[in-house]
Amino acid sequence: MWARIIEVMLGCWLLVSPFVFRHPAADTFLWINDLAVGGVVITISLLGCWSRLGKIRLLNLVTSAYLYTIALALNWPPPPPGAYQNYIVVALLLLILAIIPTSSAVPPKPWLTFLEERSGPNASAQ
Amino acid sequence: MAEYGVSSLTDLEAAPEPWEYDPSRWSQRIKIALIAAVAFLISVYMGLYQWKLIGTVWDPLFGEQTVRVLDSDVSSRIETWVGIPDAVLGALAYLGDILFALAGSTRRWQFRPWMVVLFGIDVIPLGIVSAILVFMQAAVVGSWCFLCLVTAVISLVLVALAYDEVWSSLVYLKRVWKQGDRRSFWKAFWGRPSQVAYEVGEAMVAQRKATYGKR
Repeated sequence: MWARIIEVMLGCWLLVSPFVFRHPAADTFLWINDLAVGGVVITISLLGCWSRLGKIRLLNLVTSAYLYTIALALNWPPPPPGAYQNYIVVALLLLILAIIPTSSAVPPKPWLTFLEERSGPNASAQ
Repeated sequence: MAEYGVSSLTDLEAAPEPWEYDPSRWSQRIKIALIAAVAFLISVYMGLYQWKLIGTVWDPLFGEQTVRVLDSDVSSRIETWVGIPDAVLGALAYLGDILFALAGSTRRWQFRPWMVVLFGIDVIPLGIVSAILVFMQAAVVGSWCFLCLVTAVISLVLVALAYDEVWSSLVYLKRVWKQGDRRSFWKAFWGRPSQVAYEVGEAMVAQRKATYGKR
């Protein structure tokens, strides 16, 4: 669960990034991109908290790839300016976090089901 | 929440051979996370210099040489490849060590080998390569950087602390492959159960009990 929570916080960071990095009002792309991607990250992470949709967290790998790609593609040759380096850092953080399962402290569900079936219906009554 | 019920199904603290302890136990993984956190903070500090958010970097031994390393051609070439300063990239790698160390149950060597392998790749090959690069900096850049050397030493300490768990996962996967087939290997790798995988895991734990348990 903690990985999803950090992802939500990253999404919030993107939402405030236009103010932190002082995007010029005329640069609508940066403004829209920060706010939209922030919203997308928060949505994916919250949906990923729901155990039936756990795999949805992997969509943040797509978000990560998108952020990294535009940061480099729009600023070739690198290194990009601050607001875009922010995208790269967020992209790499998302790459690490999106991999981590939501209920990571317990064995994965298929294993739990397997072990439960093996121990039989009486085992849990002990 | 589910942790309460899990302990009745399997021994989450079981020690697999060849170890006398559980290499996925919390005490060891938290130690790794704390040590990696030191290297993370040092790297962030050097990254702040490379981002020009701070003006100098502390170095008790080599003085101005640290700044020469952080402003070197090698360093700026890495920045043009990845788009961010190399110290920030290093900081993210250490953060990966921390987060991957903390994810997974205390029997993840069996139940989530992919997680352990990923953690192992982040800590072992990456750690060794980056340490070698840092130790080579005097030859390449002509200057030494005290804090870089500290992080390189930490990388090697992390390798020493992390390899046992990776080893157990690899032994487990190898036996699942041998006793089962390629399909059961991939299932086991991605954390899916099978009878073969279950038996291999129990045998690794039982073997250890037979060797050390009588003391």
